[in-house]
Amino acid sequence: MSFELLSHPADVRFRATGPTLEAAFAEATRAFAAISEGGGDDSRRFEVEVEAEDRQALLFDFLAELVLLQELEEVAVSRAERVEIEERGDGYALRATVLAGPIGEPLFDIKSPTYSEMRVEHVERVPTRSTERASDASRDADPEAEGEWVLEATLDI
Amino acid sequence: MELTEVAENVYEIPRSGDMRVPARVYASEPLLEKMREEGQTLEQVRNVATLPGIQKYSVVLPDGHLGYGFPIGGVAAVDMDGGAISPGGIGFDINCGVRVLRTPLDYGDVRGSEEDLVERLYDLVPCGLGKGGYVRTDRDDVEGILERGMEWMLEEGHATEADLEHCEEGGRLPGDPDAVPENAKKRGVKQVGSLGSGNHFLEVQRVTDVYDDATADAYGLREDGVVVMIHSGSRGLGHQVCQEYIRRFEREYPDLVDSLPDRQLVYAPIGDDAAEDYRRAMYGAANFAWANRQAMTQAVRRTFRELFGVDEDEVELVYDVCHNIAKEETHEVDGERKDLLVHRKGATRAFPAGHPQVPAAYRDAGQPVLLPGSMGTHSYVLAGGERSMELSFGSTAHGAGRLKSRTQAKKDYTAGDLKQRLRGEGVYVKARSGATVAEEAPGAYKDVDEVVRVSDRLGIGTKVARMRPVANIKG
Repeated sequence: MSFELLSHPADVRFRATGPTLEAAFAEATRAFAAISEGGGDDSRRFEVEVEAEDRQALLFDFLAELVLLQELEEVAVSRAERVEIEERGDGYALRATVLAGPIGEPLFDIKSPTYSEMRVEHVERVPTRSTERASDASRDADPEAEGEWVLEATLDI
Repeated sequence: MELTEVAENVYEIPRSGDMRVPARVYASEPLLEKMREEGQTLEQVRNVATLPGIQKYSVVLPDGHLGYGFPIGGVAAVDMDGGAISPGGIGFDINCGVRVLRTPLDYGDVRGSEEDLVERLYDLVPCGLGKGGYVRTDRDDVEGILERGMEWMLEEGHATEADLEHCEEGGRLPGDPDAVPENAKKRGVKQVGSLGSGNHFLEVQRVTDVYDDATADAYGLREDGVVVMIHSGSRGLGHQVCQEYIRRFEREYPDLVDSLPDRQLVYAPIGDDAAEDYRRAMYGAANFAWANRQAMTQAVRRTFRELFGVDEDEVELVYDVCHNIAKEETHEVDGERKDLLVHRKGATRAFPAGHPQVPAAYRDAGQPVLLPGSMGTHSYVLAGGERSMELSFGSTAHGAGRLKSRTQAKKDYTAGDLKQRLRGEGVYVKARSGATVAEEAPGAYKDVDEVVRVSDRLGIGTKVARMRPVANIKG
């Protein structure tokens, strides 16, 4: 479970990973906070709900909500907890608690998420020799232990 | 990808697959090489050629680079009859643009006061997110701006008649507040007169070279004169408009989305409700962008009055260009006059001398074209060239174009060194953060001189004057 900022010719791009789609979305929130150069303060909580027709649109709309939250509530997003994603007949619904704090120094201003080379994928992790035994033991406990969700998105800045 | 060189600095990607027209690349060999290295820029120009109703060719200009759906530096003109409008062909920052103000001062008058200049400008013009805007507005004001743009600014005492005359379209397009999403209006309320982040900047410059005396004279530019360049757009309001309409188009045209090579090429047929609502909202956002640049102009006027005792009406707007927009224009296609919707994404309108839409004061000289470089290099003023109507639907480049990623720039440069080196060259920079300084390092941009050389050589935008930065603020 982690995030990293990736290279992009003109804008900013991140990769967020997690054992579940929910955990990966929580990491995406941390990536967003790092790009905004804000975060840290968790004193305020916001309930965010997003519905979209597919997983990519869900990530686009979730990131768009974070942009909106920072601008309209005048807060710096820090992280997300209790991310819940439900698959429905016509798409997906996400609910999350987003933690944020007051803006101190002005934030880096993010214009919008984009679909550019967006990835929302579950990838199988190729087990290495040293992790093989460990994964044998944890396989029963966590059916997704062998793979992870990978989210990648570019933000227009 | 196969390209044919059809003339000096002109390459063509022939029609194939779903392309309705060929694609044209206006670049020198080194600039073309950079587009190739970047990977998908040329693929994107090709994809744009599949847009319904596209005329003649899909164009990429010398500063072209990778965008979203459309390349940055792209021009696509579609037939108003049977064509389509694409938010990706305009960009998230609707009517992002540039203006240049001339002052009565020479470089010698501001020399020694650069520190005060950057500090005062940084104080007055909010950079980044969370500091509001220079002009205080409420929701009703934003509605007024969406509908009337620079006319609203004039009525409220934030602009002069001359300011309006020197904006593309007089600083007003037929925007409709009712078509603008509620969240966009909310984002706009506190941002009238705010710079934003990224490559947006406000820069005091000195004119170092004049290439065309008569035209420079018509534009009121003289060697060693002090000018101010402002690069910003429609802020959160415009970004929200683009975002929400992309999502609406996706929902209304799901089969189209499935058939597209890139989701952000999504479009709507002109005449459909979705297309017309977007167009009215996009025009509203364009009006907002003009008001935003105008509000910052007022901050500049105040700064020059306070620091140098210059009367506010002596800081005059040379011109204001949009470089992310789609507008109805009449162009000649195969000998026939046609009404087209010209998408310019990271492209500047460059109408030649004599064109009726060039302001009267500049009619004989051609439309001023404003090309920002990076903070350590030159910026240019060009004049719309004689061949722009024939080659590029009356357009030319909009800047230097990025060369290095922001992550790479941060690895290669440190803010402290960079600021010191620039100061040694007489350039004072104040930025929201050290990261911003490193990301916007001169070395992160393509050679603006080469971009301009190609534009000049092609005759789509010809050299008038070159400026060097003196003081720069950025978010």
